[in-house]
Amino acid sequence: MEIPYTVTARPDTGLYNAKVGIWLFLASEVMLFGGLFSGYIFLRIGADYPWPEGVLNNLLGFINTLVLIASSVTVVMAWASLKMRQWNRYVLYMSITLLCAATFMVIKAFEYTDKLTHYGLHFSDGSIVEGYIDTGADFVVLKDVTSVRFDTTKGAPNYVLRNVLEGEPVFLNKDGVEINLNRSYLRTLARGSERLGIAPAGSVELTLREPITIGSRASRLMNHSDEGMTFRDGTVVNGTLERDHVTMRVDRIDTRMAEDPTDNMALQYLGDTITERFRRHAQFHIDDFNERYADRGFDPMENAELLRTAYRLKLPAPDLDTVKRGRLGGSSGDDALADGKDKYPQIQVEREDVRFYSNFSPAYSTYYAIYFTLTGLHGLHVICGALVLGYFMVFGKKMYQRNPEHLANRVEVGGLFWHFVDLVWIFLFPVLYLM
Amino acid sequence: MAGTATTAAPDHADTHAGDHGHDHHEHHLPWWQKYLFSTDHKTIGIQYALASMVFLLVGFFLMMVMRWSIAYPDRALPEAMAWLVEFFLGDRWLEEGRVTSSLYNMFGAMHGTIMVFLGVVPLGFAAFGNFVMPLQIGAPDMAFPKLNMWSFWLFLIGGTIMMASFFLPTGAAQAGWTNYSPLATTLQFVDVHDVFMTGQTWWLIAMVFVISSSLLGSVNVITTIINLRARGMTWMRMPFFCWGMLVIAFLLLLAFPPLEVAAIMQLSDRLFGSSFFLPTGLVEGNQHLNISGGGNPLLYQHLFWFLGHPEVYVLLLPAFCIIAEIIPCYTRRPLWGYKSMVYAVLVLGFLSFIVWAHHMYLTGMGTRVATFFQITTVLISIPSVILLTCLMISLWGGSIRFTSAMLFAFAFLPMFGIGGLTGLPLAFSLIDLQLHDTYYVIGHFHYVVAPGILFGLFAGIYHWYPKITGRFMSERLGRWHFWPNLIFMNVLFLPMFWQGMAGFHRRWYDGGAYFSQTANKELFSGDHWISGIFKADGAALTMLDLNVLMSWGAWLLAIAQIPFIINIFWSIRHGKKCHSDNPWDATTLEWTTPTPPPHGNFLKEPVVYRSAYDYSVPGTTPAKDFLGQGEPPADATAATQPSPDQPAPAGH
Repeated sequence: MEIPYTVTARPDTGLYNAKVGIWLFLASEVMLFGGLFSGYIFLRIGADYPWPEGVLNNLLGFINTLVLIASSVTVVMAWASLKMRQWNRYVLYMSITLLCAATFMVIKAFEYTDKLTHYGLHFSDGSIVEGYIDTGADFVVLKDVTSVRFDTTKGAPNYVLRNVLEGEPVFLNKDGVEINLNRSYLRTLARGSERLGIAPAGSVELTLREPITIGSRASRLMNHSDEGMTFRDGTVVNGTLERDHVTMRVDRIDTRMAEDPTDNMALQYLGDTITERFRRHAQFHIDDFNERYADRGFDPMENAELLRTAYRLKLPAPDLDTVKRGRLGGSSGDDALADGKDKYPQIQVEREDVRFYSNFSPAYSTYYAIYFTLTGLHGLHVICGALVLGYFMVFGKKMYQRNPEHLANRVEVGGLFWHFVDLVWIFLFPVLYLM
Repeated sequence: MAGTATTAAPDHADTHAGDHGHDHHEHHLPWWQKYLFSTDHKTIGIQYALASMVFLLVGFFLMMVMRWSIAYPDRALPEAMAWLVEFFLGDRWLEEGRVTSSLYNMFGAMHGTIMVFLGVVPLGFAAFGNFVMPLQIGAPDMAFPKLNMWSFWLFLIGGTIMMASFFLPTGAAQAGWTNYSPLATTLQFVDVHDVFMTGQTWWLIAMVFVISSSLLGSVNVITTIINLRARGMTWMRMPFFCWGMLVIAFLLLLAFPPLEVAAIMQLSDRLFGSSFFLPTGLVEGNQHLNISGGGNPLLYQHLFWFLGHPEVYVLLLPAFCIIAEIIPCYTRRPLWGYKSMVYAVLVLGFLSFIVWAHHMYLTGMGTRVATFFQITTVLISIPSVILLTCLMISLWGGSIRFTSAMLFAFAFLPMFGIGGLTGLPLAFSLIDLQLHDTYYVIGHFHYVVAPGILFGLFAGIYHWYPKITGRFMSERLGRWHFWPNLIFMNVLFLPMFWQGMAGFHRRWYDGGAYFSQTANKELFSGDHWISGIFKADGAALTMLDLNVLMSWGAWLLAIAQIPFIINIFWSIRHGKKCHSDNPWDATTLEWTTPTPPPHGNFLKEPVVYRSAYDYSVPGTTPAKDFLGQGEPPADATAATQPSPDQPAPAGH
């Protein structure tokens, strides 16, 4: 027995099966994105830090909006062409739709790359600098590593093996015999071995044939000192601490969260000239505010919008003419400017002054977390929708010849999904870019 | 297929005649398409049933180990249990044979997860819904058979990932079945090589699969009910079972996505280091976590319980659906208040979306919010009570046949009643603050789920087994299954109420060592005769001694399942044969198909002439006490004919 109403509509409901199905599916999608938008509201209302505003490129977002709306139009045209049994026009309009989808994703990729290569660093006093950190410029580097102690129940000391900068990690056991640290040996270690003198489920210390150098992000470390470091899985490595600072090229200062917005670590690192410029900038905006609302009695320190303009400064600040040394000397920000090699002042931040730093990935703040989750899921929907529509275009000819109405129905259902994806973006754009 | 089947309804005599060779391509399918990757809703239903029953057994075993730890915290596990644990998980989870706290936490979390997401919901909704619902509405199959197959396989992949997580170095998830952040995020997070290869992460990934599966399943069920009802199957002629399935499918469709959001966010917190659910300044192991913070743990709870509460009704309604079919059939009486039950279940479905925060009174979300949720929670008891009352009144004046199915259905009513009524006090935040996270809550929802819902599902299996296999299940084994179940379920769950009210916390793995020093109330003094039964040394019987009683209830309950398992397999070959397609003399359409129903289900296009529960209609000719939905009226007048605008399925 055939399943009824796959192509023709059931008279009393007026719908064919797939149309009922897609509307139900979209209802569930509404709940999915509804949950995410509720999460956005929850996080924004409850944020204990200034919610980032205007950090995305509005022009790119706007172009993407137009691109998606255009594709929503062309997908309808493709469907209409099928209804009018014009195969070539269908292929044309569907191709434009797919092209739009590709354009959207490419623009999105540029936006993502921009965010993922850009860093923010929070000093321990709350002030923030933003800018660029080159690969490895933030590593804790340990040289002359000669021994590794790790927990055998957790498998291989992966953190060590993955973070070797120099040298070949060849392990020796306590009798000085070379070890092949493969799965079966690790299993032996985990089970314990009387011959090797290892208690089951204990920790084991292996020495290295020749010293190696290890460099790791601080986020993978539990702690570190001059003599070694402990990774977060408990693996202990001995060696000599060689480097322990973060080198950063700064393109923005943000001191809103600092106890004293005009005198804090960020400014001390960047040097007197930038500090002076920053203070002038802040004072200018505060004076401007006071002047404008003189008779209203507003407290400038309670106006989030003013704080956002007054205590944030984009670098390089244009009128830097004199150059002085920063707090640390050596390679402070002003020196870099003086050399003229770098567009942005470069600072070397001691680890103890850093509270937290990350690129603008989900880890940086809940804003970026929800931004990436929302746009990532939306992008996934764009890709899936494009794949389905593309399938209808490339492999649809046979069905078109057999039963054109069936293909038209499929494209209609795919188009409904495409409209939904478009609609989600219509909400995403203002929520993430403009608000 | 018959082109003009408007007058000819299938009757019992000729259904077998067409049994063979009616659908030729079915016989040419290779075995793996027929049994493994089948698109036939009945096969998929059976697949769901078998898979979920295996999961139920696993979940049950975890609970037995936990009950040992509660009853005898200082004794080594019995040989058999210890062997099983060590065989599967290795020896690091036992400490001199005793259950460690992390093993207890792991089993606790996974017991809940498996029972709810992999056991009861797939059995109740997916298995019964898949097998019975299309037959009852007279459809040849689900609206999207391939999607249906995908739904099952996604479920099985999810279930497999969940099971596989036991074997990871970290073991499976340990943060409770609710998986609350921040605990669930920071557990197995800091001290591991690879956050991806942890039980907590795999729990989330498995949930994404299970959620996707239920999404496909619910789209399928709703579309089938809306679009594939047989000619004459108007909404108010639809069996209550299908109404229930429709509501469940909507609950799954709309309530599961927020949990998917929560899972995605928690996954992002674990894998990408975001802080959706992690507040600023979170400390783990005396160290500040290297995270940005700024997130909100309450958000997780809101997202979780937005699913979690509708999920309760997803668990519950299949049992109601089954029992609403069984009671009329075995009492030979129409279902009392069919219409009010339909409206009640719709209201129930709606209200279940706005009661979720009654799980969160203790979070400090504010009295005003709590007040709103107290009101809605009390409101939702009204449709629940309507459903239960209608079922009870349906018994009135019936000539009840106490088959195994009816016994379970009968016991469901008071057992679910206890579960439901003990939930009422929890609706009020004032009382909930005292009872929250105690064994009172455990007792409450286990009364709903175990002797309530599971009894309903057992009843359904006994009821529809003849349609699936052509043979009855053994009534004798059925009774051996029923009575021990009824007794030991109560032994296991009833004392929980007293313990809970005395303040016994639900997550103590050591059987309440702390409790024994502070609040261990004496139930019977040492010289009381009841103490004499349980205690040889003349010691008083205390609140903690109930642990031992309950644990023995649990283990004997496991033994009580053996007759059922034997029954299922033994009866396939040796059960009493059915000599009719309608052995129970039931009215709904699934009993008009051949046994077992072939691919495509019906030999002739089914047509529906009357309501689903026409039992004992006076003046029926020939004299019998039921009228099938598909039996044309003896005097086919215009009034009883399906109206002309009732469409026929395409292809007819």
